[in-house]
Amino acid sequence: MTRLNVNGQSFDVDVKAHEILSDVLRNQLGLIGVKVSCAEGECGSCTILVDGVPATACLMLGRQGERHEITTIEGIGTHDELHPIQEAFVEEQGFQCGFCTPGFIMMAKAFLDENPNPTEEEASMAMSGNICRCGAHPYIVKSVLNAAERMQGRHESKRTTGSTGASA
Amino acid sequence: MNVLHKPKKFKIVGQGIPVIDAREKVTGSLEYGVDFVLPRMVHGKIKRSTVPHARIKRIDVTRALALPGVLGVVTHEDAPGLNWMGVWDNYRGQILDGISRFVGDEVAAVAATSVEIADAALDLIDVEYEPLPAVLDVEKALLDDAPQVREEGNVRDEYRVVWGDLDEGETQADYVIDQEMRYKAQNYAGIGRNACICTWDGDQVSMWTSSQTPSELQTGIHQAFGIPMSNVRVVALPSGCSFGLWWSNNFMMVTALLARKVRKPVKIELTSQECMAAVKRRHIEITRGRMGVAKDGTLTMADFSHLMDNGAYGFKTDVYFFCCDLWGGARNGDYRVRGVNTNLVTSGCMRAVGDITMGLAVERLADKCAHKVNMDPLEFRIKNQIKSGQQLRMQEPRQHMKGNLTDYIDGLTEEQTGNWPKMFHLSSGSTHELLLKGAEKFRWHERWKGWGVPTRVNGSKRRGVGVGTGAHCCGVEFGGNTSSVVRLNHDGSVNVFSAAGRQGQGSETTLVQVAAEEMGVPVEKVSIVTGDTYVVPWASGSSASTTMFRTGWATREACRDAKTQLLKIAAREFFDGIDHEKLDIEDGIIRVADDPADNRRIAIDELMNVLCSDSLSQTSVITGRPNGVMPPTIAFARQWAAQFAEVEVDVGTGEIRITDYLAGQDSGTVMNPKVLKNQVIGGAICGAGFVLYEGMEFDPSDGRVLNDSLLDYKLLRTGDFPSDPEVFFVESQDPVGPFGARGAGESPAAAAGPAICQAVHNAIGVWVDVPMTPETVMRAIKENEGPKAMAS
Amino acid sequence: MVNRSFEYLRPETIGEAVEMKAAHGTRARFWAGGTDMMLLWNRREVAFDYCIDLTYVPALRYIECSGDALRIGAMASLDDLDLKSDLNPLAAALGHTARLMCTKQTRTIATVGGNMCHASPSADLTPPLVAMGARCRLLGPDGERDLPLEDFHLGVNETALAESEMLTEIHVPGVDGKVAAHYDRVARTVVDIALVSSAVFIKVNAGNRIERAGVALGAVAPSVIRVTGAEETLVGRDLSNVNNGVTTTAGEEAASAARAISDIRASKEYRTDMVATLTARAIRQCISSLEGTA
Ligand SMILES: Cc1cc2nc3c(=O)[nH]c(=O)nc-3n(C[C@H](O)[C@H](O)[C@H](O)COP(=O)(O)OP(=O)(O)OC[C@H]3O[C@@H](n4cnc5c(N)ncnc54)[C@H](O)[C@@H]3O)c2cc1C
Ligand code: FES
Ligand code: FES
Repeated sequence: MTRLNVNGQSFDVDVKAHEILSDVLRNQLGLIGVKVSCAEGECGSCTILVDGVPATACLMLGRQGERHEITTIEGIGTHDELHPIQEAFVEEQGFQCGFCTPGFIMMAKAFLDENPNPTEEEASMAMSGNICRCGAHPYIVKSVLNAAERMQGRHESKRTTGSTGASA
Repeated sequence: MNVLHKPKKFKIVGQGIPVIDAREKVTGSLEYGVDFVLPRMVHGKIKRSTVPHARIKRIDVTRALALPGVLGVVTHEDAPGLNWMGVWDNYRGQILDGISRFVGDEVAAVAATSVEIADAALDLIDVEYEPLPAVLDVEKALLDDAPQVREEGNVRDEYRVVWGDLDEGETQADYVIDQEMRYKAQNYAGIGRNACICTWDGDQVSMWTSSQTPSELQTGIHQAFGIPMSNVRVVALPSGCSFGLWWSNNFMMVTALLARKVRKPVKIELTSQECMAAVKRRHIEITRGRMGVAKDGTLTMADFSHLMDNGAYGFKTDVYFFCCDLWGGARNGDYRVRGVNTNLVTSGCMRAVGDITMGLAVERLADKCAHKVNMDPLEFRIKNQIKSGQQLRMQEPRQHMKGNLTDYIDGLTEEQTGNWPKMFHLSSGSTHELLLKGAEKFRWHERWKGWGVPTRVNGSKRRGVGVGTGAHCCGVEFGGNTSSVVRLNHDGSVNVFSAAGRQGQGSETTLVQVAAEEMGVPVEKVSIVTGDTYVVPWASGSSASTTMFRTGWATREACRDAKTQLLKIAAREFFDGIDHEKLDIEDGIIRVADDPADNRRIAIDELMNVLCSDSLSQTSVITGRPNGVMPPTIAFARQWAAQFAEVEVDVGTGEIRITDYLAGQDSGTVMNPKVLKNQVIGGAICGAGFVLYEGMEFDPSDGRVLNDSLLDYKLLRTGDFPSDPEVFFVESQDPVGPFGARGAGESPAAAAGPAICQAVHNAIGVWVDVPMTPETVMRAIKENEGPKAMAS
Repeated sequence: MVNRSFEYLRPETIGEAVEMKAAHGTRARFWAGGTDMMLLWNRREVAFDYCIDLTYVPALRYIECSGDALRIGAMASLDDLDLKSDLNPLAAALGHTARLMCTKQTRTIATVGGNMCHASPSADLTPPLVAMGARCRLLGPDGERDLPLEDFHLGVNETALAESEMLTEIHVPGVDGKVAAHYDRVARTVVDIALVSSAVFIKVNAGNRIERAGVALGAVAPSVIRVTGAEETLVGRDLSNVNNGVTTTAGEEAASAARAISDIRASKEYRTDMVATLTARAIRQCISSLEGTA
């Protein structure tokens, strides 16, 4: 049995030596927010936090999850109680199809924990480890900046009204 | 019939509300195809061909079947005559037919109790191939003696759009310029992959998969397996980024075949490599063109010949090139397209099909003409591009499907046509206002220094600006129409049933906005079912930018129908038999419109309760459906984009950086600005990626895809695109689209390439082939002995 | 082979790791960050029966300056390199290099040792380390060896590691004094494998005369190439004497030393041209940081 500490809970799971951590989290623990797209470390969809540090779960063995604290998107916020980063992504619409979104949010969490007050340029470079094929790029960066403000209690929700002359 | 849009003040249309599945997306709880599971489900894997073209002489599955855990195998012997056709000729063929037509083609499939066992069993299927000559080059595939990929032959009928007289155009021209452009195939490279889960229950089949086109997938299964459509349930789950990849794909049919064989729910989940090398891609395309221009900047002729490869199973005759409408001001025109098969992975309609490729060639050649007569590219566009009310050029598409559009329209009764807009004339919008407004916002006249002149030089870094335009359709008919049904419940809430797909374009939200606006209820009271063919009416899928214009139209009409039924009852029961047209609904309350003095009010839910308890009315809900025929939108509606880019080119290495971006969009009324600006920028980034880095590489010996992973298929990341691009809208209201809205997602992808390419040209003084990788840029500079100061 | 798997071994000390490797020989593979190993495994390009996971061996993970040397444990992650950028100018150059590599969320997993041992021609850390004159320490059942990194890389995915040896440390001697290094490469998007790369190291004496120089190229040969011609062009010159003519000459030396090939990422010609540009630029970058500190 492999003991995994995920989102503050412990689980004993039967993990085969070659099993990949992202598969273990998805298939055995039902954490479908760990999205797997490329399975090669390029896209960042599967980003989780390992002891607070961002890592691509598709490149880790399940057994390498042992003796660490793992956080997935499910440990960040819930449908009824969103994390400020999630609220920011909703408000700025930092996504389209949403497949890449959990990975971006996990990366944003790690980034903002390290750099709570980033510039636009820093946020843009920090989000470059993830890929959004839909092309929500600028709105992802805005979401991160918006989240930074929220996390520091400086944010007032913006309202988008009317259609005329609306600009990004 | 009342289909025409009368502008009024909107309550919900135009609101940037969050998309309705936003919370599911940010919490990771939205279920995509890959996440879906069924009880007792088993796993399938596909055996793929290792040769580009061969007949299967023998296929022996006994060793695979003997492997513990294997439940069944299907090969072409299980699929005699199981033919089907994908959406818009993106696929035509048998599910498995004993011939391999590209490396990666489906040969067999295994169902087993685990993915690993199924995977291991693939190695135990012994296939003996009888090699056939393969054709891997699109031009060679045209030749008479070329190996034929399909029974029908390689070459499709030429598709042609002609107006005026080319010879005359040539005489009128002071200069005629020609050009050839070659495009590598763009990979959909969708983030998200896909899976298909299928189960047979007697002769009822149910399928869950990510798809933009649930109804068409239902039709495909019906065709292939010969069962009534009423027995086919497709539940289209949301997809990851699709761009046209996940419509109806053969791997879904293979899943159905396997599920029928083993009589258990089967899930086939594709790997990233399968998605990138064995499903679908954009065509390899070649455009040769000539344009004639008079000294005053008038385009006198446009003569284009376009070749595209359909890969193995595509069957398209053309690529939907609305660039010929965009540049419809050219006095004489002749556009010819030919589709041809090759032994490469199937190609199909990817976002802005035709307009991202042929459109770029037309824009670039037009730019060269403008340069020749020394005219500003912006002025040149304003002078030669189509304006609202003018004649469209793309008039008679899809002849091979249902006769031609002219005959079809001529044959319509007056009742059918009602007061449709003038056919074959542009109903609304153009690039004109976009260009004017964009020029002002971008400070174009200040920043543009002339053709091939950089705006700034700093050591080896040169900056330049460019402008580009793009167009596309707002849905195409003849593949089948579109519909929507609405249901009004007791509590005044509304269900919309619509066969739209959910690939991130946000139409589940914008369709709810259409319904809420028309019904006069808050958005929270409207809920939408998008993909389940057991409940939604058949509709052509979310492709060709159809959803807002056509499905939105149908949704609004369905709401009108329900509303009329409701108001008639209200008039009778509560408003003393007043003409129901005098009534209106606002925030779920029915009242007399335009008469503040009349204080009679009744809420929808109260009225519905009366209706239910009224034994005479004998109904519990009100159902609405479109009462009329949707006009053939291809005959009048288009979407427009004009984009402005600044780039910085390092002439020492050839690296390009986009430093500033402005995107203008005219899609008519903006239903939801947050959704639309995301579509616009998403399109721009798709187009930018296409002209900067994206291109599939095929092994010259057997056509296998060499860059089948994101390691060597480069997509733009946040750091590769400006973080603060500006988006602006021009809202030229459409007379037919819901509340004046039109299609949106594809023209922005078409406008990006021309803008960026022109900016690069202006920065370094030479035109660069696409994709403009660092190496291609350096080669172009070298060949043209470009800027003398080749800084190191 | 349904049970396509392996046995997972988890040493916690360097000694245990070496013992395990000695016990299983070629049937065992070290798994460091696994960013290369996982891809090879998934694509069935590698087969082994024992996976020796090094991530639970804390003694292999460090980056420090001791004496006149910069010492990097084999299990230091690429992200550790980034975080230790302020140790000294060479660590800064390696940190800069690390930031160009992989993605943040793979840098936290990928290791320096893995990058060296995978021996990819385009590995980003190799050129700067070789230019700096780095050496590596190998430990096997028969003891320890220390050899120049240049001699460690033999070809594509080929190293001097003996069957039971592991790489324990990379160390760069002589980093005291006035030194600078710079690495750059041509890439497509902000995250990419280097199409071609060049690294330059320069050490000057108190009088600002170049005392030692290192020039190394990546992705233009099966393994890293040192350009001694370019180094000789630089050594002995005053910093103020390194003008455009000198950098161009050094660049040309680099181009003629390159033995590039064409592949789907870039052609031979382009790679060859670019090493000249990159080398010249890297020299200028070193000069300006040395002048900044002068
Ligand atoms: C998405 C992605 C992007 C990448 N981008 C880059 C890039 O930009 N630049 C670049 O250079 N590389 C890149 N790589 C390659 C890879 O990340 C690096 O080579 C990485 O540093 C390898 O380290 P690792 O710890 O993951 O090695 P592993 O995969 O664990 O090991 C690699 C090899 O080294 C052996 N090995 C590891 N440690 C030791 C040791 N101490 N002693 C003996 N043998 C050992 C292993 O047995 C294996 O053969 C990328 C990889 C991915 C997946
Ligand atoms: S799925 Fe892990 S990085 Fe793409
Ligand atoms: S939202 Fe679709 S990939 Fe990012």
